[in-house]
Amino acid sequence: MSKIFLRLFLAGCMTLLLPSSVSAQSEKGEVGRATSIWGDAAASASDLMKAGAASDSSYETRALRLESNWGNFRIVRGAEGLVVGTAGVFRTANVESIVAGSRRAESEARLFRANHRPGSIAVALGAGTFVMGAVAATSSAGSAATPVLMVAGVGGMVWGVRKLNTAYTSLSRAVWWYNRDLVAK
Amino acid sequence: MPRILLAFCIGTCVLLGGTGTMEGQEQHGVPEYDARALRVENREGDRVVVRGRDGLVLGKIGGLRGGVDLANVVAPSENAVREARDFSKRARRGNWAMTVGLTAISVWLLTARIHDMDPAVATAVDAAYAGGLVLAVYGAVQLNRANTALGRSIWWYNRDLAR
Repeated sequence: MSKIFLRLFLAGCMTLLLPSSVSAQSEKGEVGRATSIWGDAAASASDLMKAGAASDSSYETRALRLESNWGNFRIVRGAEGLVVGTAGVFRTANVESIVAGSRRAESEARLFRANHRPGSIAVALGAGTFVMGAVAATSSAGSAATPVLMVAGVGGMVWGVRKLNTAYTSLSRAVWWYNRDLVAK
Repeated sequence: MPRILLAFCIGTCVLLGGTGTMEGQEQHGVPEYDARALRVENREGDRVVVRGRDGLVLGKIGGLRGGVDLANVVAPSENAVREARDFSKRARRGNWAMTVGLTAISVWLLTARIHDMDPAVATAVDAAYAGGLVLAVYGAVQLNRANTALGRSIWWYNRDLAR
């Protein structure tokens, strides 16, 4: 029986002595390779014991949220509220780079971009067309084009707002997935 | 010889088992986060609070009737409840101010083409317009702050789930 324990001990020692490689997630979400050697064993054990606390602080410092800013959204990171980007009708940050490292968040960020641009353009064109129609209505009485312009403008704005709503839902999901994957790390 | 192999295998398993999570393995907080973490989505023109990976809709946000009781939803998290109360207070104020303000402005616009209006009524309508404008701006400020509080409330709630 004591031989078995001795062999167990020896086997354990051999495993620790063998250079083992572990996958490590870098800050940018890229999978890098780190080599564990005998000398680092004690330190890595201590690091693992601190892992729970580290994931808490990771969420606290890196998790994203959306805050309102006069019709735009600010993408804010961490408890301290560092603004990392804005998302509005006419200008928006590259959300894919902000949520990089989380596959599903990146996918939602792509959906956000795909819906946001046509939505913004439709709202801008719709508003412009509506204003043109309104101006024509006040200046030239009886013009047949004015109601058409106004209706087309409203239609464009409605379609654009729908696209923007879909885009912001994707943005919210991207943030949700990014934060979720922070918890998983 | 088989005993040595067995001992080697057991020793290796014991060591690997004690060195943390393997790739793809999820830690304790993830199932909790997947099931309960909140977010805001737009559904058919309404802003709704949604729970978890499956997207269970908990209720609408805002409106004159207040929508979902956010403080109740985020109840276990102290910071989240504080922000949720701030959101509810500001959203209610903002919605009422905006509604009254826009109504006053609409009345002013509708009566703008009436030329033979009594001077006293015209003065009252102009005053309503000025008051409506102030209320609309105040409402917009309150709604903007309410939305910021909403984002923070959900962030704190999800953060406390992840711990």
